[in-house]
Amino acid sequence: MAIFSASDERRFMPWRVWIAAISVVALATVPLAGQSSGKPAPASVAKPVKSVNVVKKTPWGDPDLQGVYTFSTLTPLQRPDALAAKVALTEAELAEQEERDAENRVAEDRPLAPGNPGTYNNFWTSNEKGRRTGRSSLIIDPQDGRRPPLTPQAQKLRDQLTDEAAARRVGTPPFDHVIYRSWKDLPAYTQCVSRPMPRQSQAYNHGLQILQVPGYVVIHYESMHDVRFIPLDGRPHLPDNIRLWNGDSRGHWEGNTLVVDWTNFDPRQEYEGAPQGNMHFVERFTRVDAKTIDYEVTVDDPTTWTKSWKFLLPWRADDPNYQKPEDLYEYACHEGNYRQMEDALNGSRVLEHAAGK
Amino acid sequence: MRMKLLVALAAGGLLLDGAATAMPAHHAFNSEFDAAKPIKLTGIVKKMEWINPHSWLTIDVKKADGTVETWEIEAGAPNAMFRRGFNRNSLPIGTEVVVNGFQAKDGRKRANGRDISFPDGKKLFMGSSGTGAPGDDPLKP
Amino acid sequence: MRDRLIVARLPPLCYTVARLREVRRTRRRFTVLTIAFAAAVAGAVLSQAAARVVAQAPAAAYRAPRTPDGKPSLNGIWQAMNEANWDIEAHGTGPSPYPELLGALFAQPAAQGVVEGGPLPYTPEALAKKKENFAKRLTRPTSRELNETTGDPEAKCYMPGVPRATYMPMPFQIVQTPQQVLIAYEFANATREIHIGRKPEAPAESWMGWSIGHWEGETLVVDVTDQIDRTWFDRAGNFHSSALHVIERYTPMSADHLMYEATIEDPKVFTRPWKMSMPLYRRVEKNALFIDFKCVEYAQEFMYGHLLSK
Repeated sequence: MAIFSASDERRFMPWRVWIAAISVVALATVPLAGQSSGKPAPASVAKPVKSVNVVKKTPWGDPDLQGVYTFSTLTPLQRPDALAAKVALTEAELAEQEERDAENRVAEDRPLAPGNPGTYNNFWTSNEKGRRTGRSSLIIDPQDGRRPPLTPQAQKLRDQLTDEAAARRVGTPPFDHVIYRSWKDLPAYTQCVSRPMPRQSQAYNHGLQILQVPGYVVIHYESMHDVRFIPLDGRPHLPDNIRLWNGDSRGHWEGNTLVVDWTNFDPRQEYEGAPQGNMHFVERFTRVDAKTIDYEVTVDDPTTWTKSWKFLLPWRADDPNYQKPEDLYEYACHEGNYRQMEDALNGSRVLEHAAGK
Repeated sequence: MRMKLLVALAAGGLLLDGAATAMPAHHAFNSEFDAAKPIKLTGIVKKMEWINPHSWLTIDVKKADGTVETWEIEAGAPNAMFRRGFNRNSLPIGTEVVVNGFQAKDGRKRANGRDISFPDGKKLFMGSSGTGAPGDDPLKP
Repeated sequence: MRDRLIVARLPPLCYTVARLREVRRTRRRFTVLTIAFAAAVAGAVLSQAAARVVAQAPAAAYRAPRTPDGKPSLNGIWQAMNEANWDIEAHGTGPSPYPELLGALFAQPAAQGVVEGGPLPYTPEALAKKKENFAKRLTRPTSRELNETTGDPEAKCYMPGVPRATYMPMPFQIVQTPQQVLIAYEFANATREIHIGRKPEAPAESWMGWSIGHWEGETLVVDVTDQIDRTWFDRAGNFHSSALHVIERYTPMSADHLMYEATIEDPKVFTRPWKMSMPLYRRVEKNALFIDFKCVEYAQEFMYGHLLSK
């Protein structure tokens, strides 16, 4: 707190004007200060502008991707042989395909082939089946809409796995079964340990929410109650020895697109039938309209595929089942999995005994 | 470690084409239930657990000789049902149901309930049309 | 009072006050009047703001930064720093479950407890059940019935429920938006949504409960109901029924800590409601990050080891 001498007075002559000005400003702000709690300070909140071309932004100026979405689709990841060179479907073709989808839903409830214990009657999930996109496949690169070939080492690994599983098969088809020696012989998802990422096709519970706060984009998935925190502050990835089932994500904005670099996967995690330890994804999230986020993923793993590939899957907010955050219910998988694990493992013990193993 | 990885992936069953399949691929049905052991049971609902990854319905089944057996029936995933307005009160204790499915491989009184319906044949939770086709409101009588 | 207020809170005007003394004997009355007028205005503004803060949050002198919708911001990575997960009541030190194997590792530290006002008000039957819980806390679940009735759910990597998730010895992150507060806990990667501004109904019970929140001044108040009865309050076997009703209060106390309070009502287990409270601290290290603790793989042998190939 400085004390100024009288001789400074001349230098501070204009201070009378300053004090007067401050008083006037203070008077003007008294009513607003009195209402300070509970109401936003008007200057800092961007008011929505009614213009077609203005991208929705969060109050702190990031593009706004927030919402509840479903990523369900009936468009397959890979283009079916029957549609070989066809990248997109016409309206008529799309309508015809959707009719066939409806018929398939009914067909799921028909009697089963011998050896197939089946699934639950279709009513449980028929509302979750999703729509077709206009494309013939989710994969947009390579041009043929199919994954690139496996590398020789990846093919060798796959053959080894097939042989190894075959060695654990007992009984005669169609009533043959694979023996599970322990929980490790079951897929990670059946164990309720984890579910593959990135999420693409899923029969049901394919809802998620994008939330944003300053410095983070957060994705909360209903399935496995997974949550991904994507820091936007440019920090480096976790060290290479930290490997996570859901990997490690780092995001930044390129114009209106959120670009996320995704690494550090647990090598026991798998994606598209391959171990995920060397996989590197780059995701691009772009809001297309009020109800759609284009979700594009570049998949890169030179130890598995001969070149990188890309898929595009729209995340939709137009599904009546997935409108509000409360439409995403708790998915306590492991907590409810005791009977399933008991049946799977004990069933194998019975089979081993019967097979004299 | 490599062996463990091989084993984990072999179990994966994810050596598929990755297409969105109709069959919920999250569960190895063959591992738990035996397609060679079909069952058809009529019983009274004792408990309905709306849990994941599967709901479980416990029913008391009266056998021909008058004794009662308790069976646990594995049913579908509940969250999709919640989104359609069903809740914990939707299948009251004491309701009579008919279950078609397949028994657990180890022979215990558990089964996968592929079809669960009322004694008059009307499918559980389904309306009269109820084919699941688009535009079909299964909740309408 | 006003002068003190000015001196304490307005460093730029300290100069003005000093100057005021200097010019007391000058002939520049206009100058003096201008200063007095400015001080009066500033005092009015501040005392209004101070009065408003005092009226809304009697306990909290701290006013947290606001989110864009004007609410106190709870965003960040937080963690409890106490021994509540061992035992929420006051307790002494104690051995680990297997001292012959672990030595002093995982032995229990003493703590004054986070429960306010004496021992937990159990009914006599419930107190017996709590003791049985503790005695059998590491019973391996060799059947479904045993799994559902016995053993510490933490050992099975089951989601801890509310309030235990808050004081697990791991961080959690709060993500606050106008219509919802999402809390993600590292332990078991458990998540919960707190709905704000609307009251949807729970379709069924859940492990992390159904949470409806609203703001009372500086405090987020959360009503938690419909929790499945298989979670515990701690490793000591303190438990609840499906009638559990929890009312949480989160109040920012400084830039880097909150006060957490939870009132517990469960007429099937306790003779009256009771309350726990504890500070929650912000993880302030550079690049603090939520890292999943997906622990199912570590629980499997404990839970399913009896079903392995011989």
